[in-house]
Formats: sequence, structure tokens, C-alpha cells
Amino acid sequence: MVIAATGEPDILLPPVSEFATTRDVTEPIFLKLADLGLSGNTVGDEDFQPQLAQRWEWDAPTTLVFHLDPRAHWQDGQAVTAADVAFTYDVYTDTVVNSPFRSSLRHIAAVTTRDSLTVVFRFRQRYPEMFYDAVYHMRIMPAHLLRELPRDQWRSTPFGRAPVGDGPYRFVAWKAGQSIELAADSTFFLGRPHIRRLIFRFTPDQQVAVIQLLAGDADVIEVLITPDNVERACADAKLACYPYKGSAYGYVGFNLAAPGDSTKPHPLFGDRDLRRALVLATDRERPLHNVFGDLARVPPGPMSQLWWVWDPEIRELPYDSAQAARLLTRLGWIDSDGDGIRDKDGRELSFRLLVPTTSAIRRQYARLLQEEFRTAGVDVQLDEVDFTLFNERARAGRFDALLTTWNTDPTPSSGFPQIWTKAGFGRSNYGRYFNPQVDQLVDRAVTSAMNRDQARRAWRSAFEILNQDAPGIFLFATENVAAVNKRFTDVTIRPDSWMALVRTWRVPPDRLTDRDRVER
Amino acid sequence: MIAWVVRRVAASVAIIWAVVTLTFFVIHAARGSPFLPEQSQSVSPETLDRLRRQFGLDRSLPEQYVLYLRNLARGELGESFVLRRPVADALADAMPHTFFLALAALLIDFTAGLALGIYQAVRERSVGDVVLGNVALFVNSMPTFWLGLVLLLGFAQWLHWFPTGGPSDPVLCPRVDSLPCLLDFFWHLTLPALTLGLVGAAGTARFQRAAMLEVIRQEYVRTARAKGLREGRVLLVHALRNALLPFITLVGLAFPFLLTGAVLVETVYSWPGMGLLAVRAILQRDYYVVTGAALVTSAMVVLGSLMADLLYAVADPRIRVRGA
Amino acid sequence: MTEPLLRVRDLKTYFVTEQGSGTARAVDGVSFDVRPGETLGIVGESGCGKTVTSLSILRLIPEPPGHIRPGSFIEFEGRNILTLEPKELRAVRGNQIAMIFQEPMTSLNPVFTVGDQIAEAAIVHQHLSRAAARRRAIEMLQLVGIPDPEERVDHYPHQMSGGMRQRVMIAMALVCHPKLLIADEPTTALDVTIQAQILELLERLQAELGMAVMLITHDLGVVAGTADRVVVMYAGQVVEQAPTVELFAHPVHPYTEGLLAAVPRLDAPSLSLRTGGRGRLHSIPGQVPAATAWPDGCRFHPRCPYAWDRCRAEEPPLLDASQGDAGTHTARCWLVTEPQRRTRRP
Repeated sequence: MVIAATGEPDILLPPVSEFATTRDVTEPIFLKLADLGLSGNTVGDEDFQPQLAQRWEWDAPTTLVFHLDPRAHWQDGQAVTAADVAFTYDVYTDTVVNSPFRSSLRHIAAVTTRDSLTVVFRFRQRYPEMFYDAVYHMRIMPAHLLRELPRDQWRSTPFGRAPVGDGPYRFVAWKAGQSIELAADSTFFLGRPHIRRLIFRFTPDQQVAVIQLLAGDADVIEVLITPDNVERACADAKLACYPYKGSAYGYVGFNLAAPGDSTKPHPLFGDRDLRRALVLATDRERPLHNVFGDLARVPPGPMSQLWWVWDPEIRELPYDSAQAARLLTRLGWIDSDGDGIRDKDGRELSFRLLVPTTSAIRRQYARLLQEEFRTAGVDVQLDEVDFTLFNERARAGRFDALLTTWNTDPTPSSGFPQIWTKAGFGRSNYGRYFNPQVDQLVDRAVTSAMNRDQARRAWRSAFEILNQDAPGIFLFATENVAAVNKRFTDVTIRPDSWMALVRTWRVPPDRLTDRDRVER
Repeated sequence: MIAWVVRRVAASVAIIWAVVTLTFFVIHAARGSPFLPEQSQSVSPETLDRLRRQFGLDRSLPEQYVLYLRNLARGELGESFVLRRPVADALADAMPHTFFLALAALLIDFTAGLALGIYQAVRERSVGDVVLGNVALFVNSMPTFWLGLVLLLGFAQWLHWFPTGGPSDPVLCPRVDSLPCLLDFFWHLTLPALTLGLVGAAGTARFQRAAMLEVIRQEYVRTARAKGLREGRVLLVHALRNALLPFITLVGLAFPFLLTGAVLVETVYSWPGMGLLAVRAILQRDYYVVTGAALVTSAMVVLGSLMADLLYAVADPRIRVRGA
Repeated sequence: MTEPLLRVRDLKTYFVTEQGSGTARAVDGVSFDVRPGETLGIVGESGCGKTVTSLSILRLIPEPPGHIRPGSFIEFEGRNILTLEPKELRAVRGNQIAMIFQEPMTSLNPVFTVGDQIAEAAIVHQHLSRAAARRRAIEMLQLVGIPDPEERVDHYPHQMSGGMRQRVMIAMALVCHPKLLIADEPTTALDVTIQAQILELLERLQAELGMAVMLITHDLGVVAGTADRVVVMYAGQVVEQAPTVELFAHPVHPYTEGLLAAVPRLDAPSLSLRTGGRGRLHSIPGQVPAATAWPDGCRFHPRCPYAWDRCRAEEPPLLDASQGDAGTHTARCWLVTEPQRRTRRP
């Protein structure tokens, strides 16, 4: 099966990489202890599927014991042992390795081995997503192959270019810039994968990837992105389309602090009412349909469709241009010189919107919003910069507002605090939004809630308060459409990691082509 | 002769050094820093600092420069922050692709351009000359990206005559280890080479037409006819041999064009060459890849120029004898 | 009288001009003969059509913009050159009729050795092997008087002086022993001393090889020494034709008179320093008219000191002015019929 991929992995070593494409390629190579179920529920442990761990139990409220499947083995023949798990935890939490996932594991106090197949996780406290944290972030690494590797070399070790894993597929070859090939491991203990070879084909341009798909040179593409592509691909006789919940959301974020000086408030956006007025003034449905067609929805707050907390009932600021106009006028912003732009004390109601050039979607949105704001009497200037510069200015707080998207985890617990609470200052909370009530509610949802309903209620309250503070305008939450060649059946896509179930996909014998049969 | 070669080599080294130095300082001066992977925005400041220290990026710029030169002298090109492998490896993987693409494009460029130019010069002012001249102008003005996409859509997607990209078929020919796979490689090379080559050929044709016209007017062409030689021989031996001299210079100059124009072609055809590598590195501020690519590229250009000069000396006896 | 080797009758070669200022009638009805073994001198100022005439004989006129008008007739050894097939024409060029040009530097290909260029004609026409042709080339270099021919054969044109290059041109032209050599201003670009050497060489070769030479020049001095007969051209036409001695002794056409008078002589009183040297060099007043607009009547009349009404109105044909055998001396001038008009106007 040829997968048209638009990015190339940096290194096939899960602890040190968070590229989406890296995750896709390493997903079939390395196993986790247990994996998310199709429901996507991250609370508790009922909805998780066993992988390396055959079963587990709770010895105490904060002690989780895993029993590894004795059939699990590394692709070089060695058995997977508890020592591997302990080693992996050590690596993921090592400050020198500095894994991007380190902070997600901070609630785990220790990981020890009881015997060669039993691992014990001890947590610092009880909280709803303990099990999720224990299993989701770490892919177990082979201790016998990596123990000797100095920790500061993990970033760029050659093992990452020829990994040895324990999953349904093993690594075959990596042709830099071209393709990565994986082959099915017929001895995989949970069942032999049906598709013999997975070939990731790197294409720098999304449009060309779609062309490859339509020409039959590629079999699958993860997401078609634009409505045009969806139309073309789904109309093609040899392709089948699979929609699934997207994990991204995009928004305009206001900078509540003065650009370049975080001690002072932003001259415009430090004013909560002004922010609220701007949110009220924005019709979010129109640009959404313009850009995405049916492929996205307006989120009721900063969340992706993937999150279980998604709830259209969450209260938010509506689109009400009349109220917005009144509010702006009350704040003293009136168009005194008749140029269509409101002003106050000789200053125009104008700000600069920072947009990265790498995404056509964001640029399109920027222009549409510019128009909307102009009719409300607000002048928006666009700053389109390349991605690296965008990041630098975002981090440094040198912007008025920015338009960006986030790719989220299956649960808000890790991403949300990083962006919308005090803990995110200096990290991803570029706009420096802080409301102690929100922080408290998030804390409750993540740490102290007893069960899912409590957590959900806490989240909902957090979102609703945040919405009233209007730290940004929440524009879209994507819905993805994957296209797969029709000869593949039993295609199931788990929204948080679309390749997670690829070992169950198959081609019925009567539809096998010669290319499918080629072995290496 | 030896003295001349030594001087040229010394000058070439100086040029390469100048290019690398300029590139070094410019890319470091660009706002933004490396270590920020495209798809993620959550590298913590502490990580950033540690990585910068690890790679010596926290030192002053002149210090870094001296370090870099010292490493260069030992043959070490540094490590890529984004690709997480030695720069030399990344360049070594990309170089052959660029090389073959450039070679094929050059071949198409020069054979088509030469033939066209000669034909146009011989049939000056005829209908054929005018039509071909305008076609050449049109093709020469085409942006390579556009032409590439058009060819891709037309020949690859609709007609299925050619593959839609990549240097090989990953399913059937992961390695070029057999004749069918070699042919497969050439099949994949065709459209990208045509895209690059045709645009260049149009320019070459116009140039060569002028050169031929210039030469045909010369009196020694008339002498050749007066000797009773066949017209073919007059044109292709007596005239062309002289008209090729400026052409050799063109060959030397074509290299940089092919290397830069190749980026767009590489994007459209997913061809993993140096162009893509360099552009991505620049956008991601992958410093050592950028300087490494500048080094290799300038070396290739300088080499091309040197070879052109040598070829010129071989071809034109007037220069040869003087330098001897 | 022996059959002429070359017969040219009523040759007209016209050129279409770019700016559309009309047709240039460069050669407008020229007739003459060349007999085997003789040297015919063709004399005239630049622009009179002598070079175009010589190029037309070998059909080396570029077809656009020039063309040889129908009605022109060129016969060589009984064959009509103008109707030859390309293959037959190529067999004549460089083989039966050879041509050398004025500027040897630009007329020789700079990227080939002189040996290669000489041998080429032998290989193409006589089908010699490369080795044999090379030996031939060395022979020819020796024949034309170039020292160290075994070494020189591998030299390039730019390594030789002007005189030597012209000798190479001659060697190249003669390698197939042509019956007729057309020499277009062969000495004009050379020093005076070299000029004399080249002319001497041509004379010697002509005697040795028994070939005819058509010597085209603007320099009467060159013609005086070497030609048997002279044809004087002006404005695309033959204006006078006579044996050399006769022409110099008794010029008929005023143009010929003018040319002769214009040759500077050290013993002319007007120039002598002893007598004060107050005289000036004689020159023919006016300029050669443009080939797109020849004057009406006699084409020379605007510059002629004797011109009268008839000259302005009627173009004279070639009239017989022979003092001996009929037809040996012709001139295109009404003075032949009205000699009394030969008075200078005040």
C-alpha cells in the first residue's frame, strides 16, 4: 500500500520526535502498553485495548500493574520484558533527552519491574486520566539495543534511521527524500497484518500528492484538506472516501500584553470589552463555508472535534454585529473622520494580524476576516511571515493578534493548559491570557475530578468562562477526509492516529494486483 | 599552461570561500532560529537553550564562523538540526538526484536548442524561423513550475504515459539493481528533465541562432562554398565549429540556472534533490545544511565554469596557442 | 581564335534592398570572355559591380537578397553554369574554377589548420586519402613559396602573416589544378612589397599550370603588370574593353582616362618639389551613384567632363573603337561616334 505523505519524518525514534508523519510511520513499528479504543474516551481504563500489556489491575488507587503479553517480541528475536518498559520511562523523563512528552508524564512517580513480565506504575495522586497518561504517550523502546546509547545522542542517533521495533510492521528501508518502506511481520503476536508492504511516499506538495492518488501512483492519503480535492477524489471511481473527526482547530488569538513588554497590557486587547466586541462582530460561519465547505465546524471554544468535551451547547458569544457596534461606540470608538474606520482620541482602531505563509487556509481566512472587520469599522493589517519568523515573534510576544492552528491530543488535558492557563506563559500561551477561575476549573477537571461527568462539567465551565473573556476568536475545527483506493476493505480510521489500525486493513484476494503481491 | 591552471584553481577556491562566508553570515542574520520543527510549536525555552549550547550557537558569530571553517578544513560539514543527521549525509543523498536531473536537462536543453538554433539560422526569415522563434520565446517565458504542473497533469495524470513523480517506483523498484529498474528510473526522469530542459532549450535556441547567423555571414563560409563543399558540410563543419565557441561559454553558465530552476521542478515532481533540500533548510534556518548546500553548489558552478574555459581553450586554437 | 574558356553574356545580378528603397542593380548587363591561359583584368572603383560579377560566375550570390536575372548567360567550357544541378556545380567549384578573396584573415577558417583547409579540396574533389591529401597540401605550400612547409602545414591562420595567408589561399585554390582562377582583389589588403611577390607568384603559377586568371582590382598599377586584356567596369556595366597596352596608350572612355590620370606619378611636374609642388592629385569629380538609382542616359554623364545632351538622354551601347582587328577594343561612349566632342568644358 502506497501512502502519499506530504512530510518526511525527522527521525524514527518516538521519544524525541513529535512530527505527525513520524508518528504515522512509527505507529506500526513500536507498540504501546495499551491503546485508545475507537470511542476515543481517555478517562478511566475501560475503553482501552491491550497491546504489549495483556491485562492490568489496580493494586491501589495510585498503583497500576501491567502484565505483559509473553508472546511480544522484538523484531530481532528478543522478548519484550518489563525492563524495556522501565527503561523507556527513564528515557522519556530524562532531562538530557528532553522528550516533548516529558511533561505529560509528570504525574507518574515511578515505574518499576516486579518480574520480567510485570511492570508497576506509581502515581503521585489520583486523577481521571491516569491510565491514559500511563499508556498513551510512551512507545516502548528496546532496552537491549539502546541502553548503551549516551542520552545526549538520542536526538540524532543512527538507530532512528533503521529502527528495530515490536509492532506489526518492521522497518525495511529509508530512501532520504523519497520513501520509507515497512514490511509486515508475519510473526506478530496479535495477528499477522494483511497488507504485506507499507510504502510511505514523500511528496513536498499537497496538490501533487492528490494528483498521485488520482493517477493511481498512490493508494491512500491521510487528509484531502480542501473541498476541491475532496470533490475530485470522492468522485473518482477507484477511490473511497472516509471522513473522520479532525484534531485541529484554528483561531485568532489576541495579545493581552503589550508587544515586547509583557508587564504592560496591550493598548487595545488589554480591554476585555473591546475583545468581546470584536468577537461579537465576527460572522464565523461565512468564512468557514467559504474556505472549508463542509469540512469543518465552528467550535464552541478553543477545541477540536476530536475532544470528548466537544459540546455544541457550551455557551459562547454569538454573532451580533449590532451589539458589537453598540459596544464599540460605548467604548468611545467612533468613526469621526468618515473614513470607515473607527477612531478614538486621534488613534485609529487598527491592529496587525500575524499570519504564517505556510498555510493557504490561514491566509485565506486572514483576508476574509480583514473584510469582516472593515465593515465593523476595524482596520486590520496583515503581517505574513514565514513559519520560523512567525514562531519567533509569537514566542516573544511581538504581535497584536495572530492566526494559528493547533493539532491536539485526544484529550484537552495536556494541550489546553499549555495554551490558555498561566502554566503556558513563556510556552504556547502567546497571548498571555490568564483567568484564575479558568485555571482552577481546569485543575479540577484534570486532577481532582472523581469521574467523567465531574470532569466534563468542570471543562464546560472553564470553556464558558473563557469564552466570555474572549481571548480569541475561535474560527474552525477541522473534519478530515481520507481517500483510500477501493480495493482496500475493512478500513477503520481512529481519528487521533489514522494509521493506528492499519494492520486490520486488507485487500480481498480477488482484488489483489500484481503490485500488491511483490515481496521483498 | 600550468600557471594558468593553478591561477584558475586558486581563484575558484577563493570564490567558493567567499560564497560560503557570505551565506554563513546572511543565514545567521535572518530572523528566526532553528530547532523549531514545522508541525510543532511546543519546544520549551530550556530545550532551545540547551540545543543552542550543544551546537555552539550561543557563541558570538565570528567565533562560530571560525569554528565552522576549522571543521570544514577537517572535512566536517556539521549536523542538520531538522533532519538530525550529518549534513554530508543529507547532501550525499540529494546530490545524485540533482546531478542526473541537471545532466538530463542539459542534454535536452543543448541538443534541442542547438538543433533549433541552427535550423532557424539556416532558414533565416522563413516561415519556419518565425514560427519557431515565437514558440521559443513563449516557452522561454514560461515559469518552470507552471510548465511542470501542466506536463504532470497532462502526461502523467490524464494520459498515464508517465509517472506522477519521484525518481523511482517504490513498489517495484526500490533499488536500481536491474535493467527494468534502470529504465524505470529514466522513465521517471523524463518529465522533470523535459520541464527543465525545454525552458532552457528555448533560450539556447535563440542564443545559438544569433551565433550561427553571425558566423554564416563570415567570409570563410563563402570560401568553403567556393571550394565546392556540400552545403551540409559548410554549415555543420565550417560554420558550426565556430558558432560552438560562444556556446561552450553558455554551457558553463547553464549550471547555476539548472541548480536554481530545479527547486520548482523538484517540488512538482517530488524529486529529492539539492534544490528542495536547500530551500527547506533556509526556511527552517537549518544553518549548516544551508552553508553546506552553498558550498556544494558554488563548487559545482565554479567547476562548470573551469571546464568551460578548458573546453574553450581546446576548441579555439587562437586561445590555446596564446596560453601555451 | 581559340574557343573562350569562359563566356559571360548579359549578366544581370540584382539585389532586393531591405528598406524597400528598391532593387539594387549591381551588375546590369555585363559581357566578356576569358580565353584559356590568359589573364583578364577587371578594373573599377568600389561599387561598380566587379566583385558581384566574380561571385555570380560561381553562383556564390546569397539567394535572398540577390538573384541572377533570367536572360543572363554564363558558359564555362561549353556548359551553362546557371543551369547546372547543385552536385555538378559543386564539382566545378574549387575544382575547375577556383576563387581567392581579398582578406585572407577572414577568408580562412580560424579553427582549422591551413593544412586541413588545403587538403579538404583534394579530399572532396579528388578523393584522396587523408594522408595523401596532407602530402599534397605540403606540396602546395612549397609551390606557393612558404618555407618549412612540413611544419607550417599544422599551423593555424592566425599564426601567419598576411602575405603568407594569401599564399595559403592560393595554395588552397590551386590544389585541384583549376582551369580558371578568379582572384578578387588578392593584393589589396597587403603591403606593397608583398603585393609584388604575390603577383609574381600568380604569374609564375599561371605559366606553370597553364591556367587562366581573372584578376579583379581597383588598382591600375596591378593590372598594368600582369593582365593581357582589361575590362573596365562602371555602374554595373562594362564601359571599356581592350588589350592592356592599347588601353593604357589610347584610353577611349572618359572614365578610363580619369582612372589613368589619377595614378600618382613621381615625375609629374605638378607634384615635383623642385618646381614648387603647387599641383594637386587629379581625381574624378563626384561619386559613384547608388546601385538602386543609376543615372539616366549614360551612367557616367554626371561626372564626365565632356558630357552633352545626348549623353544625358541616351544610354550608349558598347561601340567598337578598335584601331586594329575589329572587336578588340570597345567602349560604351558616344565619343566613339562623335570624337569631336572630346573638348573640356571651361
